[in-house]
Amino acid sequence: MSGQIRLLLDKNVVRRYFEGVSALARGLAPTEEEQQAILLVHLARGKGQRLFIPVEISNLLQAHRHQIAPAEMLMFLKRVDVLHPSRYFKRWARRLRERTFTREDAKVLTLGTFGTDEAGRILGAHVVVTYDRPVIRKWEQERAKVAEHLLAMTSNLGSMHYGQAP
Amino acid sequence: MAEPIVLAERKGFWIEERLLRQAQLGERFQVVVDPGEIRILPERTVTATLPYGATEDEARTVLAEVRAEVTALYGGQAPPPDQPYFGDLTWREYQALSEEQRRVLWDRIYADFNLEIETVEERDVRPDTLVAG
Repeated sequence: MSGQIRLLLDKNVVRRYFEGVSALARGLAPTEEEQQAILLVHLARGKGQRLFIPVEISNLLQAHRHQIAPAEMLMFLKRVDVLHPSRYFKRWARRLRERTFTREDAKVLTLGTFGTDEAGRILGAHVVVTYDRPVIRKWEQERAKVAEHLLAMTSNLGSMHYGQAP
Repeated sequence: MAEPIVLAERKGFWIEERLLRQAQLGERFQVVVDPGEIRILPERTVTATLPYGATEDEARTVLAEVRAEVTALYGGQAPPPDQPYFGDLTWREYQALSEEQRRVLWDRIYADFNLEIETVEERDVRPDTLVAG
């Protein structure tokens, strides 16, 4: 059983959310992508889905909380949880870096496979949400080979049973 | 880069079938008419626009609720444009940035938090952890 569908939002989705809500606060119309980000965040719970952000984004928001729009921050943080690296994160992130994903992309994709919540009750996300078209294209090209490598790696992990495609 | 093609007017605008095929719009498409432009889009692009298959009505309702929530948090009025907003910029300054400049600003701030892979702290998961799949 895998519980609720889990979505991992990357930095660009978070940015669109903040920009869109800030626009609404000032009586402006959000762009199409900003609307998508707002709907994604605000409809998730009602649709039985759970949203996560990478721990780096959480750290960024917390560190800059006195400079970032406070209402938007409050609205966002109460609707998302943080995904932390679990065991094997480094190993798998290194593999993705070898496939020329950037460090940021490798870490976000790795959280999608080896990320866990505060309590360690979950492992990985079902979907990584991004507006980064180059990384989407690269992922589509590399997906089959990445899945092969993951299977090879997880089959050697001992008693922990992962066995899921990224 | 696609070359512009001037369309002939024959009781309205006539677009040859070969051009529609060349555009790879698929079998079905939507024509969106806006002031100053007419867009022909593959149907999947139009229907895939909103997350969770939300309808336009649902989207409008959610956006109105979000606007009410954020306005209430700001005490019923829009925050001043010269108030700090993000990355040492006010909203007025931030809004004046191009999309590329905003992306660069977020990337620059994010870089301080983008740890080397080897320095990342790993956590253990519970034996009954729920695996995505």
